[in-house]
Amino acid sequence: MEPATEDDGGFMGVHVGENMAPALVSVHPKGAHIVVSIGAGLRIFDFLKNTPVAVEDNTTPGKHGEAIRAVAFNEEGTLFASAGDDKLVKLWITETWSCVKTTRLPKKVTSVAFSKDSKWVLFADKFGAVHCLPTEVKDGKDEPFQLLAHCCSIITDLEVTSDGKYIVTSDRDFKIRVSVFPRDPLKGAPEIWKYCLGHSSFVTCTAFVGKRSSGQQFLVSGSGDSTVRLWDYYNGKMLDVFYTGEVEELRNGKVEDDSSRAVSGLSVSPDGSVVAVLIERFSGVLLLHYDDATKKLTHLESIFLSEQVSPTSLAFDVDSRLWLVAGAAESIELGDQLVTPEDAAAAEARAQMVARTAVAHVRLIRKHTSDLGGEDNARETLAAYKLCEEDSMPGGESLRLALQGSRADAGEVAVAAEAAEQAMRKLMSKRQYTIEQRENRKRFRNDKKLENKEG
Amino acid sequence: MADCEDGGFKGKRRSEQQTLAQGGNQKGLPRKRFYRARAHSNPLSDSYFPVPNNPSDCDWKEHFPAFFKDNASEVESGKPANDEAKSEVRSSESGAVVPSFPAEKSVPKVRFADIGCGFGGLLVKLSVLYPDKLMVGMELRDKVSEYVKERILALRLKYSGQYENISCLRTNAMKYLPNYFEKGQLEKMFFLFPDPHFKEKNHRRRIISQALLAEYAYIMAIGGIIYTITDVEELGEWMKSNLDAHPLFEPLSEAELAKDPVVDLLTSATEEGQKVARNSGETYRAIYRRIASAV
Ligand SMILES: C[S@@+](CC[C@H](N)C(=O)[O-])C[C@H]1O[C@@H](n2cnc3c(N)ncnc32)[C@H](O)[C@@H]1O
Repeated sequence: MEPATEDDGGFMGVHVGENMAPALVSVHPKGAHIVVSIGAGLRIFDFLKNTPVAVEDNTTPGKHGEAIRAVAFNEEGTLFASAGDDKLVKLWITETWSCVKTTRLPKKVTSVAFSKDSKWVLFADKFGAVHCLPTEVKDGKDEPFQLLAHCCSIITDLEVTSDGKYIVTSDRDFKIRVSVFPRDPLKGAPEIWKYCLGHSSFVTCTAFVGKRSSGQQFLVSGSGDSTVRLWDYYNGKMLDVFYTGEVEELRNGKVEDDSSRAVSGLSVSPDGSVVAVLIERFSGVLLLHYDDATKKLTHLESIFLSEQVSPTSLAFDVDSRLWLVAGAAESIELGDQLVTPEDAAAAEARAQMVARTAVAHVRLIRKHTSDLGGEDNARETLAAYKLCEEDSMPGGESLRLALQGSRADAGEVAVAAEAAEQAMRKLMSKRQYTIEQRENRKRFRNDKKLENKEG
Repeated sequence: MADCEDGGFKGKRRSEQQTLAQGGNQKGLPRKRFYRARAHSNPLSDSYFPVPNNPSDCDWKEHFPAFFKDNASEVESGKPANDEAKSEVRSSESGAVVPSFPAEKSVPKVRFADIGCGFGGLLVKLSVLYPDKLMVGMELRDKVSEYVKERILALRLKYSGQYENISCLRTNAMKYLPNYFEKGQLEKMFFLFPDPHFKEKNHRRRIISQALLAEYAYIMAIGGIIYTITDVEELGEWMKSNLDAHPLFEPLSEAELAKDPVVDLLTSATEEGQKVARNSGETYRAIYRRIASAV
């Protein structure tokens, strides 16, 4: 699809730049709020009061100045963290949605997670490092300190296991690393427990399956190799591989080209048995069943959206409803050379404007229990997910307006979402040269050097 | 990505011919000057070479054919060697528990790794000192790693039955060690005269850092030893202070160092070491043991 321009008439002002950041969705662990982050802005809807929520931020800088790339709630839902391209980490109290802490990190943030005791918030960055900050609010500045690092790679996802014992980080170099969560994070996380190696392309995302109470959770990961893999992360063993490319709906022409499509997002239902999977250039979601007894992933359903838009993010809520969001906003580089506070303020204002005007789609998939016949056919219970009609979504018009933006045009959203996908591709895929190409490039570079010297 | 064919000897016929045509001397040993390479590579840049997806994808048979002759089937089944069965011996000096490593069982595994092995002098010396241990040099520069492979092949030809336990592969050791080695696999790791990367902004290119030591600790066996040496005082201090700061390593005592036959090789065996010795330059070493985490 061509990027929209003003001349396109139909699309009013959606700006598709080089650096499109996907809209992200996250749901409060007890179901109180849903948050869509798009560009530098947070859009929050309160399910209990059935109203949108405005954030309050008296820290400095008081707003994100570039796109948010990572968001997370803590275990109880009392805290929320947002971070991204502006290298700022913001910690929010969800009761009032007020920002209680803003800290500057050394690099752009790609992922965020809380420790299970909520004492720490962990951030992964584009240079492969994971930093840590205390959540406690006290006077004076907090310095982020490094827990661990993947040498010269981009960390794509960061999770803490439900027992709080391990940190799981995945990267662009096909690796998933399991590190021991340190007793004193101020001394770093020096002990790597295991690697989960098997993906044959960049790893995009990770999540946990299995019953939380059982203490026996397993890891699922998605990758540029089009697979979802199941891991016993404690032993670093791969238990199963699910090839998304073999799902019929993805093969039989519903999706135009069949070059490998990356798995771009994962979310697991609260009971740990359904894995929802987003796939590049697929305007829907795949639902997989995780079977605890056999430790296998099987295809449950493929659900298509009614419009040609591939979702950029997904999240199950506590009631097993699956929220999908599609959209993106350009992240405008501030650069490191920002000198004057006026420049910074102008850039921040621009980023906020982009965020305000950006459009997103919010869709909901939920179980249709009325369809069920037998009581004990678990498989059928699982297979009853359906796309919810727009006007019967919880929160109604008010939620849609709050989260989607006023002009939620499907074409615009699709263009933006696709551009975000492409930006992700570009970041993740390495240029791979054959030996010959490399030699040629070297020669070319040397020629240039010579020319420069002579000239 | 493919397995580590690149590091194997699959392409040897072609390069062997090359050696004979242009680089080989009378005795069939390759000469260094025909393998001239750039002095430094940037380990942070991505260049393309095949990397095994995980250690079980790595075909060590290609590297050590003599060691895999009879039990090829066992290798295929990937039966793990009994890593757990280490008998522990108390070293009288430090009171530290020093495991003595068992002899290799059915499937031999690489136990020593020389990181940034350069022209391979250390491997050649270690080969005869520990003829039963498989050891591999890991080198970033492809021409240099090709040279080392040729050197080893020539040695194997010349001294039949010897030098079968050493090999070399091209890789970026800052990124891919866990793709080659399992947890606890290595008994010795060597970092001899690594590139100093003087400038502050290039310190993250250094081969020893807190983050990388976590990876080295992961692939090293408890009781395994990491040897570092440099002629650059500042780098020597850097390596030592990083090792001191890492909770999974402790320094060897003077008495232990005196008993270790490998220590003398650090200054004498490698090409870089010899160069420093010729100029009677000062060297700074840091030799540490991988210890269990205190839990
Ligand atoms: C100064 S030389 C020392 C060579 C050898 N150890 C000696 O003592 O003669 C350092 C070597 O490390 C290699 N090297 C640097 N970074 C590396 C990396 N990330 N992985 C593998 N080798 C690396 C360089 O190509 C170079 O050959």
